[in-house]
Amino acid sequence: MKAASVVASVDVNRISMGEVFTYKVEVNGSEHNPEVNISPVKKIFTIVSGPSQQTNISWVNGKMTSSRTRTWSLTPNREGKLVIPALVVEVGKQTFKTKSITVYVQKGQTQQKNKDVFLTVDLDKESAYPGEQITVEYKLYTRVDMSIDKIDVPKFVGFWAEELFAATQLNYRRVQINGVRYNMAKLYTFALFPTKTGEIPLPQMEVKCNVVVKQKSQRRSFFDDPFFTRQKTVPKFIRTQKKTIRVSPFPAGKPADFTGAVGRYTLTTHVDRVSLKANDAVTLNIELKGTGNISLVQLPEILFSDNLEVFPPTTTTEKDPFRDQITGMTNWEYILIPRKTGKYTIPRIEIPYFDPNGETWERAVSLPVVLSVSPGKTTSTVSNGFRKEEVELLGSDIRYFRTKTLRWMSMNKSSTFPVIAILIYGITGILFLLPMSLKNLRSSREQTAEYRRSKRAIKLVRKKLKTTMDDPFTQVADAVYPYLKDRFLLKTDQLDPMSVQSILVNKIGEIELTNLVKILHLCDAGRYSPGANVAMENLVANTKSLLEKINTHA
Amino acid sequence: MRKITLIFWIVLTVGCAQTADSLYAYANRAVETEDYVAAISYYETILSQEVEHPDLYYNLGNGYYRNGRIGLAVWAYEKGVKLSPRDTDLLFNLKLVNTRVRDRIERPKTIFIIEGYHVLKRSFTLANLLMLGSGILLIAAVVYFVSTWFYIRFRSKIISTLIMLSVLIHGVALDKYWDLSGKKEGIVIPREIEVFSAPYERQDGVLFRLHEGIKVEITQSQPGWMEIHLIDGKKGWVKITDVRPL
Repeated sequence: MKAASVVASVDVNRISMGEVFTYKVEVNGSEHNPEVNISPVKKIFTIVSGPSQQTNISWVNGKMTSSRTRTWSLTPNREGKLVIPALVVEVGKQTFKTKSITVYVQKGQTQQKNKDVFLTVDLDKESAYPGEQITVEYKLYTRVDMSIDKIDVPKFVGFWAEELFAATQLNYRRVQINGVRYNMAKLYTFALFPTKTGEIPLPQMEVKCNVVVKQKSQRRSFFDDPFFTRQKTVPKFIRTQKKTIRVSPFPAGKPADFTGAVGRYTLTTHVDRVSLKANDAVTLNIELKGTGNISLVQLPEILFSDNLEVFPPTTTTEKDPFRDQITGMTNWEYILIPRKTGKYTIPRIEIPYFDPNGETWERAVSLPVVLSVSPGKTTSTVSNGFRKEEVELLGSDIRYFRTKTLRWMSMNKSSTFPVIAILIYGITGILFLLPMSLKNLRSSREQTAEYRRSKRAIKLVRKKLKTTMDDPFTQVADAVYPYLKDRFLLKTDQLDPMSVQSILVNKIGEIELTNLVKILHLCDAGRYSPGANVAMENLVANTKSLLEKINTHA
Repeated sequence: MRKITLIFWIVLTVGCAQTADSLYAYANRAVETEDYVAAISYYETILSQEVEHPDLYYNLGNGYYRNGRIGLAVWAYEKGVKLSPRDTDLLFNLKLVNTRVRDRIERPKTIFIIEGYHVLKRSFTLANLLMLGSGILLIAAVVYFVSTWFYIRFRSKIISTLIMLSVLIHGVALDKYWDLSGKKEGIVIPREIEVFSAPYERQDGVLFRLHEGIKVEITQSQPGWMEIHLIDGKKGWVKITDVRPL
């Protein structure tokens, strides 16, 4: 195996600032790719692209030769004599060192006219007042094929910038500069409005572009054909030249209510109707037309009547895009609702401005507007989708928090049946049912009264028959008949021996019944025919024992 | 601010055993110092303990309103009104917050009597109606009871009128009960939501947009989605997180 060799080279060693050159490390006769530590180079140069890698392998008479290349595109960071230091290259396990290379860097941008590609910036004026428009135009000149990679649009510090034109594609025009033909394309146009005074540097615009460079072929080859003309694109940075703008302070006589309007303006106000009903809405349009920093103009505060409800204005700004001077119109649209009848005057509105052309202070003034408001049809007029009470509510605030301690309700219980309701249903039921049950109670008590009467009957008999009376027959009859009536719960009062026999025929024993009837007959006979005095002494005792017998057996 | 809220939440979850009373006292102190975010988190913790009170919902709504969360404020006030439908402060604040709701959907006009019936139904809770109905029934019972001993003029007329009235009120209560058990409502919480024609998120399926604070009826739900119904008859599907059920 042949010993490997490492060579470092550059394609050009005399360049100017902003130009790009190629740095190449080539390894011959090795099967490994070189590993290059590029970090020492980074201090002095910026790596634009790379590393890119290339491998050539050729077979000549059965012998293989190979070369492996690493390539970087570099651009210098400063001017003067710069040295690319010796770099350490590792190939496989071997370590090599390249030779250092010297590159001479000239001052850039000096002979711009001779360059292939450059940028210009054109200002329409070098000095201005704050708020006065300065139009800045960026142009690209080229006489070779190129494409734009990236455009760094600067941040305009100290200016309010509005883009007037931005190229979406490059439209070239042919121009001649010092007899050299160039293609010129407009890139950007900005309107700048200075926001402070003094010398303000205009920041540079930087464009990274790829320039196509035709390469002379070193050797004739199969590919050396017009169709395969070797072309190479080289990245390149181009910048605009440095410029400053002198912003001078305003001349004397600045009005107190000046809000920064510079240019030339007119102000008009108009309402959609001048006579309306209370609680109806009216639209007030305030239009500012003119040329200048129109987006920066603020409307001074307007003093409306207290009885006018004013909704915050909507602002629209329209710009005329076909002019280099920013021209347009800002419209403030107020919605006003008069709440009371009468005449309302919208005062005239003044906007002071500075005219940079005549260097004078001017005022844009609108005419006052008078609204006459007649009483509305109804007080609850619907306006803006709000009901009247809602409009009244709009101005008010919510009622304040409550802080007293609470008795918490469980979430599950609170939605179900209230306990007290159940209680009330119970009481209601009781109250309805109670009178009915009382009736039943009373009737049952009546029954027990009769029962007690029949129980008491025998006691009465004993009591009546205890005393001795003159007429035993009447005494016995008076005791027996009530007894029977009470004891057997008879309803009738007219009892005689016959009826007693028929009523009690199955209720008491047969012997007792015949004895009883016999006694009753005896009593009747004794009571109504006084002659018969039969067994008078035994009558009371007999009756008593008989009734006792009946009472127990019945 | 967010960090402070987070710390509050951690403190609250750790101290979950805290009673509702002490949490409520903390919340009231937070309200005094106008720290509404903290107050809201206290109130919500109380709610997570399964207890509630109209005043709690009232304060929660106020807190959300002060915080600019219109949807959640409406939700809290509606919850409060459900518990205490004749609370004037609650009704006032709910009305005020509703003026800040962007969507204005008008209820279709109905007959005067039906409108009045709705107002009646809305201004009483189910418990109120049951208490009222049972109370009238109780009066009827008392009259009947007393009349068994004492003579009362137009006794049967009084009793039958009272019973009729009680039956009517119980009818309203039954209607209300059906409403409560059958109808689920919710409030839109995010600033703006999209309502889809079907429960999938497809841009061509967007039917309309709703804004925070609007009340919708929830008719059915699927995993992650629920079907809503607006009072003017519009229907559609929304994500389950967009609507907080009442």
